[in-house]
Amino acid sequence: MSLRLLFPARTAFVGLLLAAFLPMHLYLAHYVTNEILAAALATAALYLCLRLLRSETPRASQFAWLGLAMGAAMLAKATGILLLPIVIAAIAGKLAVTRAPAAISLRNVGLLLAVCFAVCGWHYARIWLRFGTPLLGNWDIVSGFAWWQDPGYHTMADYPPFWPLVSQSALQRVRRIC
Amino acid sequence: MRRSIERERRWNQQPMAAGYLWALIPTMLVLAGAGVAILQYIRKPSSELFLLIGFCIVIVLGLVFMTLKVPSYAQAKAFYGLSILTPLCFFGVLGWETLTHGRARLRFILGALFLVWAMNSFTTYWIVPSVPQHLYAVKSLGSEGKIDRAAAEALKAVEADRSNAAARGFHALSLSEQGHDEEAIKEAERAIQLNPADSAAHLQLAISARRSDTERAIAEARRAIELGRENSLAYQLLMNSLFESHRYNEATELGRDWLAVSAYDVSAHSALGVAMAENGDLASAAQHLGYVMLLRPELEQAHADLRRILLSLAKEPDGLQRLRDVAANAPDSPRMLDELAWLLATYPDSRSRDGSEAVGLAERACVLTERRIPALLDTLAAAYAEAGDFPRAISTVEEALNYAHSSGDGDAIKLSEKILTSLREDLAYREEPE
Repeated sequence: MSLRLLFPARTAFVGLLLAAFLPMHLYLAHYVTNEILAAALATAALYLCLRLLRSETPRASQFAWLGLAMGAAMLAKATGILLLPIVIAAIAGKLAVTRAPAAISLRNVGLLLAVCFAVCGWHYARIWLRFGTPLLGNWDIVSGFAWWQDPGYHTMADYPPFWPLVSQSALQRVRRIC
Repeated sequence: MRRSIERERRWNQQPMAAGYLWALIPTMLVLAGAGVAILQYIRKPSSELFLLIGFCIVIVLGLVFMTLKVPSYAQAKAFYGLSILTPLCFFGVLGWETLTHGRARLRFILGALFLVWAMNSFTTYWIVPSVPQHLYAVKSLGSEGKIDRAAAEALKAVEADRSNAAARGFHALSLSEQGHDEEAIKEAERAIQLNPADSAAHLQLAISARRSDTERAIAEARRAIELGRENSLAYQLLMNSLFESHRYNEATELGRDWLAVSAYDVSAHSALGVAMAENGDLASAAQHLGYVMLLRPELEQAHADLRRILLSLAKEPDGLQRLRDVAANAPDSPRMLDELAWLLATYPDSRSRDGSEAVGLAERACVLTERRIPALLDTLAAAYAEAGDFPRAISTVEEALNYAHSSGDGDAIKLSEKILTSLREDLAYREEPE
């Protein structure tokens, strides 16, 4: 449906085939998991956002539906939160370009955020109260998950000491060239 | 080896292997489309392109961040990017349109290759009734405790291929689970006849013989280990059989061999810890149980065993030195560090207390848990008090009390209040270990 908004039907069919036969999609379909639900809701949110962006004068209900889809995606999986800044930025850009009235634009974006947080906010508030942070990764000890990794796989902390070496050798190379 | 691989596989591996090559077609379309989309956005920015490209970039950055934050091989999962299905398909279509526009022959060739890729993907994940499928069902049903259904699936696997050693072996296991030991042994022996070099078949015979003939079970488990050095279940079964026979020296040797193969195996550390404790080597036992706590902090039995061992060490005449020795080699397990610190700070006998050592251990435990666990903060407070630093002890126990209240942890609230009462009377906290 999203592709039908952007391409003619025959061309969009290629995208449908790509989505339908993507190995990760077929693989996950055999399991009970939140991944498919999160992906479906993120896709729905993108579709609603694309429709909204293509509307000359978007209605308030379009913002509300988009907020609902985004809230549900964020409820299904925390990575859904990554949609939020991009969607808001895209809408803000569109509203700025079309010179939409500021008050109405703010009301509509506020409605989007209100619906979104009404749907998923309780979950993040609960985590915040329980663990002291709204975003809890499964790497956080307090989450109760434990993991172990054999040596040979690097973390962010392993890289910074090398930056001076990298920049030093780059500097030496520049000097040599000069 | 071939048979063991066959037993484990869940999907159709030949089309799966071919799929990596076929996937180059859609990958090429997606990459071409992504390039075109970025160029289009640079030439003529639009909100739609910003949304699709931006979301892709954010997810990719998120994956990079996660990979660096949690450096686990498990990060390499394609479905973590499943939420960018729409942008991916958009790029794919854009790539298709760009490459095939006005080129009918190329469109036909690419379309045919694309369809082959699609069919290949579908056949890869198409589940066909087969021995591996039945055995997968046996394992799943068995792990859910549905033994009768697992046994029925094992029988189906045998009926599907009577010369399949794995099918026979799993059938033997299901018979053993149902209490038919004699039939199970015969079926496991048939499995070994079919594939004498199969470690799993020998393990299955060991499991089948365990109730009726422990010595045979031990011999078969040893053979299973000889044939499969990484057969963790064989080590586990052999270890349990040695424990039942009270052969703790052999169990200790076996535990060391097991750890040489699987250094991060919780069961290996746990079993070796118990064997060492039975042999009287309490300090080494505590260290291995500490590794269990590091790898699986939620295992209460191991925690109870560790606590018991540390208490036994504290009660010895040279208790303080023994606890210090354990502390010197303790792994970075918050629960273990906490147990040690608690004993060193609060043990009633002053000969087994060391405030500064307790502070070091408790501080490390709190750093590892980002000062978020009230019980660990309580230990730190008790350690500060033992070291004579009452102002820091009071502020720490108050911090613990706040966390305990906000998380509704009743036990931690009680403990914090008891410690606070003691500290307000200028007394370091003491507790008789249970």
